Amino acid sequence: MARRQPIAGMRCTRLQSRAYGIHLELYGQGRVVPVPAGIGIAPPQLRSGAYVRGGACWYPLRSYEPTGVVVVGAGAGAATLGRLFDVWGQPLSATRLARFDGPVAAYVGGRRWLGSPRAIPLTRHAEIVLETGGHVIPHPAYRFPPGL
Amino acid sequence: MASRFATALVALLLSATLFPAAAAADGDPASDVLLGENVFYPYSPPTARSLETTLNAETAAAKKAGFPLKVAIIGSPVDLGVIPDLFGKPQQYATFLDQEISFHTKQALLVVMTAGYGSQGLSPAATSAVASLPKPGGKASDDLAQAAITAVSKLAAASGHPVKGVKGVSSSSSGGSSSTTTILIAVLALAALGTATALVVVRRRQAAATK
Repeated sequence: MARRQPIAGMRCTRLQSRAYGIHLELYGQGRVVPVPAGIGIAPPQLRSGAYVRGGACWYPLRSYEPTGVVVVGAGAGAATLGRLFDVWGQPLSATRLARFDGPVAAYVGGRRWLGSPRAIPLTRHAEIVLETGGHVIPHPAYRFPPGL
Repeated sequence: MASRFATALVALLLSATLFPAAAAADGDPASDVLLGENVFYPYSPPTARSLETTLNAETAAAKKAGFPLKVAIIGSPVDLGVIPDLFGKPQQYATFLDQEISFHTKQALLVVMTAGYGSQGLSPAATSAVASLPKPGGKASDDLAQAAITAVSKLAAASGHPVKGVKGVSSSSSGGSSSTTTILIAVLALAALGTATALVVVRRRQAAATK
């Protein structure tokens, strides 16, 4: 990402386009794995407290805040969770969630997702929960901030 | 210096992605933001920059004075993410949030909503001070931030760690009001003057009577 090269077919641009939000929650061994601000935003990043306000360029899949809210902008094509993890630079498969090994359980809108977690579509206002090494009751929905 | 701080902050955030937080629940934005910040501000409308600067400085000064405090300002259900039902219930949300951000030690916490305040991890004196706080003056983010500024100062004072020297923070909210003290001194001085005058008059009359 720092080299601003295309990732998973997505380019790093300075394009301001219409976007929507999805919310992602990750749990490893029953504990929260934070989704950081700045995913998909190339350095040097403009930071303000816990938030990233901008950067050299940004990918269609990106995060501005450390809350799990991910922005899906134009150019994402068929936006999937696998492509988001590619931009983030963290591994994701049926048996690996970031640094955690083990079967990964996925939930979308509170319902169990039975396919590959990489294939989960990032549809508008999707609430996605991934767990490995323990069960946390998944939230079915998220109230998104204005503009997303 | 600033770039070193930024580098350290980025390293901290990156390490946070590799090591899970100790909480067993997530989904409200404040719990994520408060892991690295002292204050969570509402999404909309944005809080005035001047108020943010004041409250950030005040909580930093309180921490330096020995009173670390996390403040969550909740302006609408959007600020609660997966638990919008807790809007208008500051104490319930404070209890929920405490479970998410207090790990090995109890974290002092203040929640500010239009409906009032919620708290966790405070001393009995500070908890009593929370109960005596007036409700925020309005629903806007700025009204809530202003209420938080007043509250933090009072709680710090009640905890025995008054906040001093923060621009925009009234010393009157830190327990001992300087203006009240000035008025009290003036009243006492006037009373003393009146008493002295009365004594002089009485003695002169007594002296005149004996002549």
